[in-house]
Amino acid sequence: MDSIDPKMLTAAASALGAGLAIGLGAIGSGIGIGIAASKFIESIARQPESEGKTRTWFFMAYALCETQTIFALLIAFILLGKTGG
Amino acid sequence: MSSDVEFSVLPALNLPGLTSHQALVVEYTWLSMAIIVVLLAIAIISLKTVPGTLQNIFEMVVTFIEGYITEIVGKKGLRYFPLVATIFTFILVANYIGLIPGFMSPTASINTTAGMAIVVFVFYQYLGVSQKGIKYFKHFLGPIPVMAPLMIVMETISELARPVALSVRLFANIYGGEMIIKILFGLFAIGVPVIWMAWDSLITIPIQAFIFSLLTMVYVAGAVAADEGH
Repeated sequence: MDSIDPKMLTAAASALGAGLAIGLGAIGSGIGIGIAASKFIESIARQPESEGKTRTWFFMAYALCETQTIFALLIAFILLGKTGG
Repeated sequence: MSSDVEFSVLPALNLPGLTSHQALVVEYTWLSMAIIVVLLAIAIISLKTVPGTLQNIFEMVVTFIEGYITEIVGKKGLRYFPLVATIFTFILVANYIGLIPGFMSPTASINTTAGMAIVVFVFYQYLGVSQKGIKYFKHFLGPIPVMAPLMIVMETISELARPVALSVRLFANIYGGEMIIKILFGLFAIGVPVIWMAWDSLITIPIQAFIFSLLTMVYVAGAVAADEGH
């Protein structure tokens, strides 16, 4: 039985992990931003004059939801650095 | 970050201690600052009661930024208007010049965005300490005294995560956008990349500039706000 080069194994696992990290990490913020946007549109439809006030808070929520994906992206970058490619 | 040779209108200067990519980032940072200064100088020289096109644009930007500062922290937040407006205009111009072929965005480098995030971080920590003194550190302990040993760890981590998230958010959006444009140009030579560039210039770029300055305002407001629980 031929043995696997541990370096190759690390590189392969890191590449796989990077893809999984950003892919799974994006699910949560996708759902979160979706909910925020749907409520934003709902509130504009109900009270059109409140748009200016709600828009700022929508972008706040958007930025906070996005943070999770950004940390996933950071982990993906760190893992990509370990692939040696 | 990128090792491939890139096409640039400005020649890469031989700056000591920097690679040619980093030298280009510095050059384009200076270029975007020069663009802002020149445009503002032209607008200020010819101030009129009935504004022309350029003055109209700047008045719109100023009214917009003033509007959301008063929205979040009220009239007393206008004291920090210069910082917020500077960050907003710089990020906007720096992002937009990257869309011109042969130019690159200084914000597509983590060094530029981390620099701005560190300035914001140091500024609001300084404001908090100078305005509230030792009481500023009380909010690190959390609301319940028993939980303080646990809360101090969590609050410190979440405080340190702010500049990281702030810088990586802007960097990842602009860098990712440029990567997608590059890949699309490899796949389709004509037409399709323009659709992505339009999306980038109309949605991503203004929203990222807006979010960076908005979060700056929120952090500054949180540091100077009176203690009423949070």
